[in-house]
Amino acid sequence: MKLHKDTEKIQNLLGDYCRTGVEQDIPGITPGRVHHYRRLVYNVVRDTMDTAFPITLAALGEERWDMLVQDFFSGEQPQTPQIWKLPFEFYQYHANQETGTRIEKPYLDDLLYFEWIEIEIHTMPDRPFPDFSQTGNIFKDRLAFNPEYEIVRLEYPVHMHSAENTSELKGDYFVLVFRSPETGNVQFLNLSGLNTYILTRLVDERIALNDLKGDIAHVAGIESEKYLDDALSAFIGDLIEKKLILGFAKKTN
Amino acid sequence: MKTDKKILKSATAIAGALLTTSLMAAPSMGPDILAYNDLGSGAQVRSHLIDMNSNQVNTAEANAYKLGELKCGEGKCGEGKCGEDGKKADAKKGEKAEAKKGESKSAEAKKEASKSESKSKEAKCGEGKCG
Repeated sequence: MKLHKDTEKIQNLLGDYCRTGVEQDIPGITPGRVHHYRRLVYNVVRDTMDTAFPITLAALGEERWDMLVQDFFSGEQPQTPQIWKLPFEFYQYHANQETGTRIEKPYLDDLLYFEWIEIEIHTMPDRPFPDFSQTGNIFKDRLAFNPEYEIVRLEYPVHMHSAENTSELKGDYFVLVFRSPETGNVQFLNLSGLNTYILTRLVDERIALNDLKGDIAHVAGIESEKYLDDALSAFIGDLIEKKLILGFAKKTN
Repeated sequence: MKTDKKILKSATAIAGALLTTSLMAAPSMGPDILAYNDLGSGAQVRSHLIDMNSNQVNTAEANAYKLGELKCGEGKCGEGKCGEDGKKADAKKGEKAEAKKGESKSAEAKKEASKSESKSKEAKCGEGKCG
């Protein structure tokens, strides 16, 4: 049912007031009480952000963090009706506003995104799992990957160091984030560029590790086949144990 | 949009990313080239990084506090606790601070223990820490 025009207008005025705190003449409001609405709504937003971004809160300190939340709350009109997605809009807002540059915290985008990705991976809809078998050869057979993962590229290693110390460490960092099929918990791995290259090619091109070994040796300048085999075997074996790799793809896939 | 760049969608993207790093151009990087670290679960990563970042902020605050104390050495504080007494007072202050630190750490530990693995939640009432 469509709202009456006046009702819609009053709702918008109240919404604007709750976000910005700028008092307006809102029909039907009891003077001296309306600020409670703003307080309650802000508390929900602040609490949601505190829960979503505890590392950023610890890194920036209470005062600066509150400024960021206030800025987002009054400057942006959140679009999502789902409160768990609000932190992503918060991240987007500050990335687009280049807040990190303005407050001289260049790592801010990376840190907010790193914290958001945990929520996204944890909460995202189930992705279809491939058919796989538990037996096979890690070099000769195609590997079946758990589809519930993302690889994130960061410029600052906020996943390993205190944020303030990362400003001097700008580079390329890769973080594998996946949902454990057994527990539903989100797991994190810090990958080297080469590991990332191997995983993305295995998944994209649906090839066996043996088909990729030549390229790996070439790009990494590895001459010892035994070293490469041992290293790959340990890496892939560990991913199988962690359930990022479920097993071996069935031939029909 | 700037915010779309972080997730690597394909090998092409990663190959492009790697070409910009020194990785491909370093033929003799040795065994570490395939190294990776298990950072643990979300809760473990969070707890570790919160501690690290809080310590960083606390150190910065402590340094600021020390600078403030230097000014007090001018004999303007009016507390009447300089010299020997002052030292005792400092020691007590230190003990107190340690105790408080301990308390706050155990409180933090409790808080951490009560935290669930996931950060996702529903919060609706707005009165403090519901949900």
